[in-house]
Amino acid sequence: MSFPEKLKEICKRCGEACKKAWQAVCSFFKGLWEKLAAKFKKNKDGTEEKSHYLSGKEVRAIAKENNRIMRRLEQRKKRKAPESEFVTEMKDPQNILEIEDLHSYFFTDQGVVKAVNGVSFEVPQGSTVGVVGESGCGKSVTSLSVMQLLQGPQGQIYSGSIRFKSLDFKRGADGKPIPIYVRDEKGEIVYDDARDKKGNIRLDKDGHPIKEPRQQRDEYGTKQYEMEEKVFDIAQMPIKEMYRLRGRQIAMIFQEPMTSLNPVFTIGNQLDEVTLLHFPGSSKEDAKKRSIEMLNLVGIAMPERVYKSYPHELSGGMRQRVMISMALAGDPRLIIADEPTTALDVTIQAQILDLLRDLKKRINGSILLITHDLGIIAEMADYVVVMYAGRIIEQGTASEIFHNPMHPYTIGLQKSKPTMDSDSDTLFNIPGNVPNPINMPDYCYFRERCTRCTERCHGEYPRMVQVSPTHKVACHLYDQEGADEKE
Amino acid sequence: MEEKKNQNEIESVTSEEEGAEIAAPSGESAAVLTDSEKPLDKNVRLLSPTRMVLRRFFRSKLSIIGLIMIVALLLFSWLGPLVYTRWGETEVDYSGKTEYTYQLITVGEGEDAYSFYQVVETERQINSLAPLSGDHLLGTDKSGMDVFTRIMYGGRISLSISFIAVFAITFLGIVFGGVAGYFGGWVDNVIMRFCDILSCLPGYPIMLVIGTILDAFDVDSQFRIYYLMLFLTVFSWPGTARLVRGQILSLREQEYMVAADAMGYSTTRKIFKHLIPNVFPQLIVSMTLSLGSMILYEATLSYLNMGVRAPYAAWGTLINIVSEDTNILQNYFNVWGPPGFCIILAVLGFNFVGDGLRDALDPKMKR
Amino acid sequence: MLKYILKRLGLAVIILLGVSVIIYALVRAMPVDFVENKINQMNQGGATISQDVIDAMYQMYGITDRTFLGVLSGYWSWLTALCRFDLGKSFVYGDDVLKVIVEHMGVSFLVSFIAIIFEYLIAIPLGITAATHQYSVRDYVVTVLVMIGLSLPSFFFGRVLQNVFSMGLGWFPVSGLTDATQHFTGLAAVGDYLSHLALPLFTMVILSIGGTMRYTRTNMLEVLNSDYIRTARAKGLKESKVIYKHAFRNTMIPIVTILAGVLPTLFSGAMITEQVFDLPGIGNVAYKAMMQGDIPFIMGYNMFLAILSVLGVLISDLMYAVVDPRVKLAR
Repeated sequence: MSFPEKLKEICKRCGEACKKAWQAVCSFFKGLWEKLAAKFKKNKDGTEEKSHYLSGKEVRAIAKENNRIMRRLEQRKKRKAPESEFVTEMKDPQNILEIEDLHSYFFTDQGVVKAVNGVSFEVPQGSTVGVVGESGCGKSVTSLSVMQLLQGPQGQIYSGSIRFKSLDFKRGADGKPIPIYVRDEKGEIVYDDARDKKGNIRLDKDGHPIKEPRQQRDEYGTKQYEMEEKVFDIAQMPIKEMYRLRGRQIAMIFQEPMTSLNPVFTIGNQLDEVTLLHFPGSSKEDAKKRSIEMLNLVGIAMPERVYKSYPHELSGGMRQRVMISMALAGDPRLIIADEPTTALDVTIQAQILDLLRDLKKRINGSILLITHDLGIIAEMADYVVVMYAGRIIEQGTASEIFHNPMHPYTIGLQKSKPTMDSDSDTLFNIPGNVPNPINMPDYCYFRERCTRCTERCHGEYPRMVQVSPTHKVACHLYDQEGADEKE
Repeated sequence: MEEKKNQNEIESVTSEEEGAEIAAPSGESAAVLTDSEKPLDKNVRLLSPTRMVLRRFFRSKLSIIGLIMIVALLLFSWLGPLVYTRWGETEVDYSGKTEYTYQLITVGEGEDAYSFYQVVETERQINSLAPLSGDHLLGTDKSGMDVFTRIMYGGRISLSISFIAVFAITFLGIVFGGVAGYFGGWVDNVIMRFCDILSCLPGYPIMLVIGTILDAFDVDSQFRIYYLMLFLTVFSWPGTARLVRGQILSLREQEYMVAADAMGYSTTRKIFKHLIPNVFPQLIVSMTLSLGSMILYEATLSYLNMGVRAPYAAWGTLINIVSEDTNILQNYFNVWGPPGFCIILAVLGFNFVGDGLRDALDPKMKR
Repeated sequence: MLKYILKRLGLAVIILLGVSVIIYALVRAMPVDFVENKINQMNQGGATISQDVIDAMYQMYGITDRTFLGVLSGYWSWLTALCRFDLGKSFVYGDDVLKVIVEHMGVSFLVSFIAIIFEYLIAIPLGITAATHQYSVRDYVVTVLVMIGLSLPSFFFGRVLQNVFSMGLGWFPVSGLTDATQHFTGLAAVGDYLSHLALPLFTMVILSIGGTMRYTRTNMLEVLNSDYIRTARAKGLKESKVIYKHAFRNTMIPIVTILAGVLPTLFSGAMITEQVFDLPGIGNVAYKAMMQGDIPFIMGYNMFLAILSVLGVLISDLMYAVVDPRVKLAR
């Protein structure tokens, strides 16, 4: 047999094989189609329950809608806006942070996850506000929203307002901050001889020393400028404007000290960055001095050595201290601590909490403390916000929440805390899980896990009921009372 | 007063059963199942895992384009010759052609000089280097074979060989990598050192040596490429083996493997239920990507006249001709250009699909 | 550290021994009469290979003795000669193999070195922009272009370039390293070199950008999702500073490591590209020698490449320890 013939035969065989394969594929798809069709029919009749999974059509629709909204929000975040667009007034001048009807969503393939769904609370100046809830209830997302640190483009602040009262440098006509100079008793500005980098006195052309005004410095030697208070609506701010708040006005301490420090830079380098960035006119020496002061402040024994070391050379507790010192370096008005002690040992936890409480007094700032640990809240917080599935279900002062909890969930939370004097051998638990906040219906989300459901719970989502001037709860049990009284 | 009473009530309810009893009427009262009355978790409808992978894969338009390119090439080279049967792979067009060469010839000197074109007519037996026409869609090559047909047949060789090689490499890689990773100890050490040695061997030079050896043994030029790819497989499995071994080692450290141990699962069950499904996505991605590189490898070997040799066709062989004949390189792009584009299309297609698969199968990807 | 290096060196020697066994076995697999035929062909083609050289080679590799012991002793004599840097005499080039390799190494290194500089200069910024603008139009365009480059067969792309730029437009010479018809000095000579190198360089850069760019992009994406980047953003650093200070350093760690590993292999030459453009680099020289069955050169060149790649692995591992402060080579 000559070669072309051989080849032809091979081709023929190939063709036959192809045919067979094609038939097999066809029958496979036929089977699949039949299955699908059967499924579809059942759905149409309405007798069978809807599939647990989304259909391809729905997924495409969701993705299309998501893309549209995400693009709009991303553009809004990147826009250039005049200051007037996001400067507002506080409702209550006593507060440093007011969150009102905040909605932060994640646009996923499975639908919009309403991680924060209409949250409102305030942080009064000089106080600690604790946010508690099970994991996945949206407390971390709330804190990240305040910093505008949600991972875009999926995570977005959808609506609402976050008003923050900042104390920023007053800027002169040239856009530079106005320095405060040291004045003597007569009110005259004190002048020093100007020095160059080597410390020599600089002379002008005629040989006279150049005079420069002496700028006031704080206890850490950082130069002082005139300050002014301004209220920003963070939810409206373009991301470029956030740079002046992040780190300087609001600082954040994260949950994972192990991974939150950049492994390739020394602690000193990462600390100095904050000072150099937020205090104009500070030199490298100033920054180093301030950084070491900060390390001292958080109780690190050998600040000079830690300053020079890399993050991997430190223990978890030390790293968290470094994180706190980094937060303090910007001299912030508000510190957001997102589960600052979760990843640490119990003994270290106590140290860190003591440190935070101590620092709050010293820097006269406020703390927004996010945690799932009621014990920490009891120790630290003045006000407590209880969140569940992206909503606030109860808020009030710490003593109100602890001594007079009203929402069944809060009561359950407290009972699930282990105590020494309980006589039962099992811990109380709230049955069920926090629901995944996609496509939430309009009724109380806690209904299925609640032991005190009433007829009204099948109705719409309960509104916030004011129980006392500071205590609010979102439960029909108490709303009903109010309604009855009115009648 | 009321509040306290409520609180007492709640405290009295300690066991779950009682809680369920109280909650039960709510279910009964909602006898008519409306959407809002279903339990919360039932309301959430998720993406099925298959659909999630598909969704991620098809999100990128590139993977769709890649898939189309590959399918088109496969159809072209396997079904093409069945449909377009005008010419065979090695069939020479003996229809002949007449070639005319012009030459300007000047006769005489001075004012009497005149010049004319001398036209030489040559009859050739073979219709070589024919232009594009209905008869030869892409013309013919130097020896009068139809380029279009040869590209289709070349595709068969190039694609099938790279598929075979990749499957063989993956098989060897899984076996050796799996053995090394699973048993550890000296077995692991020996296999890994062997991998090191193989991966330090230079690629093309060794293949050239093997090509020379095949020459020495007078291997049929049709089957040379199979031997070459066999050796290539023998030299290329270390990459896959390392991947499999690394995955298995890291999986062995995972908590769920410890859990599987604690549950008393048998070894086979552990391997097939837990290890294989976890290694598989990575393997598929690396297979797709190496399909592309295998095509390149095969084409290069054929181009260097080591693999498939004329008169049989492979994409690389079709381009090989230009290294000997500058005339073809300069004037007959139709002879060597199209096979090059086919190589690019195939490799690009596999790269696109591989990239899309990597995005789709990576569980760490959130979007 | 020293202990680690010594351990790695020992391992490298073992690997090289393994490589040498395989190479020797491959060459021994050739039948003797085939070798003789090849030599005869070369002699007929005008080359003069004296009987001395052939005998020397036979003795060195012990080729004539086909018993098992003969093979072993042949390997041993070859290996000892190898340790004395004696790679034998090349038939084709009529000179010591080592000398031929060293002579042609320079050109290859020059070309590869310039190519790799361009490659990294282009690929890293591209990878970073693609990562920071993930899923944007820019990302897609860069990815598609780079993937096309990745999918080009070097011989085909080189030929196309020759066809278009040398034969069609006449901008660059077709092949070779210097213009044989003219003699340049000074700057003109450099210009001549450059015009000859332009196309091969372009080919090599376009082909290799893809891998580096994809690698940079993947790394950058991973780094951008890490916690310390969030910390840096929370500090109030501008996005550019976050990317070019905090993310960049971390992204560069694996890239620099790989780059260090690539450095030795720059000497090995790009066989296909050099063959297409007929550059007198080591790759092209080796290709020609191999096509004519120049056994001493084949063995010498393959060993040379193996040594380079072992060196590359070693250097890249050591580099990893230098660049990343977390790694301590205490093992």
